[in-house]
Amino acid sequence: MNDVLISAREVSARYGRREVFHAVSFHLSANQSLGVIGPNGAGKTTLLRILAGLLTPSEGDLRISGLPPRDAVGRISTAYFAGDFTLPGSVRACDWGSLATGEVLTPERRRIRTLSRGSRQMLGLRTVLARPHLGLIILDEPWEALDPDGARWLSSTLAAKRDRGAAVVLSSHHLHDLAGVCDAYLFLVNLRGTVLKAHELSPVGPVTAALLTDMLERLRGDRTSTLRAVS
Amino acid sequence: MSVLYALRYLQVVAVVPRLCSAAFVAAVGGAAVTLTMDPSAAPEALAPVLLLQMFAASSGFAVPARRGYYDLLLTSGTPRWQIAVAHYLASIMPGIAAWVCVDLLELAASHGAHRTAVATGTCLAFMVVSTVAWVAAIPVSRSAAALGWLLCITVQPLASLVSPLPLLGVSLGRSDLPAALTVVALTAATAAAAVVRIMRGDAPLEASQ
Repeated sequence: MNDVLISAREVSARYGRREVFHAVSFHLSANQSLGVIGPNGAGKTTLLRILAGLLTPSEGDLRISGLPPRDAVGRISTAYFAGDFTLPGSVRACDWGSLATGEVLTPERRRIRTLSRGSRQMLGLRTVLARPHLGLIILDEPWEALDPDGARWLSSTLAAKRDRGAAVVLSSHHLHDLAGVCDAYLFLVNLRGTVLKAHELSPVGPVTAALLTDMLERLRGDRTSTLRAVS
Repeated sequence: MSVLYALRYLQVVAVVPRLCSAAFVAAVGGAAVTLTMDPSAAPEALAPVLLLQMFAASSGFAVPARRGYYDLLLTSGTPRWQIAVAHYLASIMPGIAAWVCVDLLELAASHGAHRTAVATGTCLAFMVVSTVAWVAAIPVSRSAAALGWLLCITVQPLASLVSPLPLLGVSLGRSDLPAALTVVALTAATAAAAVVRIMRGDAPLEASQ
């Protein structure tokens, strides 16, 4: 059995008075991937930024390799990307690409703002995933704006990194992207987090987008849904 | 990852906009003309550089961090205090380079007779302006900081109280030492507080709040 890499206990987040989510708990080991699913405003981005050490939870305890996330990013090579809009538009693509390892990732000299959205997304993903010896990968809506080739490249790269020992946390609105890719799913609905392992969602065969959609709908309609809801 | 990586990152994302750097080049060009005509006019030649530094060093940290521009840096494993120091250095460096250029121009124009560009008053003015501008802009945007500085240097009586321009070219005497040291200590304390703020601060994404 793998050691637990991420341990979240009763983690809550709030912006001022507005509570984003409450008492979310989950564990994730190396070689595992977690899909974070929820409607707009459910706190997916907030949770991912907490994992990346960019935000502090308002309550609860979150540890990565036994350390608070902000300290853990100094010990564990971490890839975090929140989307193409987080790339500064005035920077040349080749310069941005060189920030991961110092090596040239792309010869493209155009400024980021002049690239297509899909190209910006690919640039951001390729840059963070070029970091060596990744132990933790956190990607927010990574398939957004990618063409089929880009989407296939991303899925295969993530699978390869996970098989080499990285823990992967992904969020996506497109449930067909996450279906079958993750070992567990965290549904953020109605301020609560519900974790379901892939085999709990689908005892026979792979998890499908239809299953994820069905579960999301059930949790949306039932504020007290728990693991028992599936059985 | 180290402070050198942070410096390279902040240079790539252009903490000081290229327009500001171009303005410094223009100010140094103007200083060259002024000093060629009158080698003792270094304080006048330095005034535009000092005022530009006020705006250039007000680079702001929280706003670009909330836009996600520093995500790659903040998750690189570089210690936060090193990121803060690198941000400070990257913010003040173009102005300091322009100041050094004016000093060299003064040296050349006066054949070594004048060094008012490195007089104690000038050094104090540049140190305080660079640091206070950087510290004050940490939580706000560059434009908000610029608005604040414009008010500070134009509205009386505040302008005559806080303007650093009278310090240019002045050699501070012994009697000025206690006041100068107090200013240096206060400036250093605010810089330390700003570093702590960057170390402990959150970077919520604007879009997710």
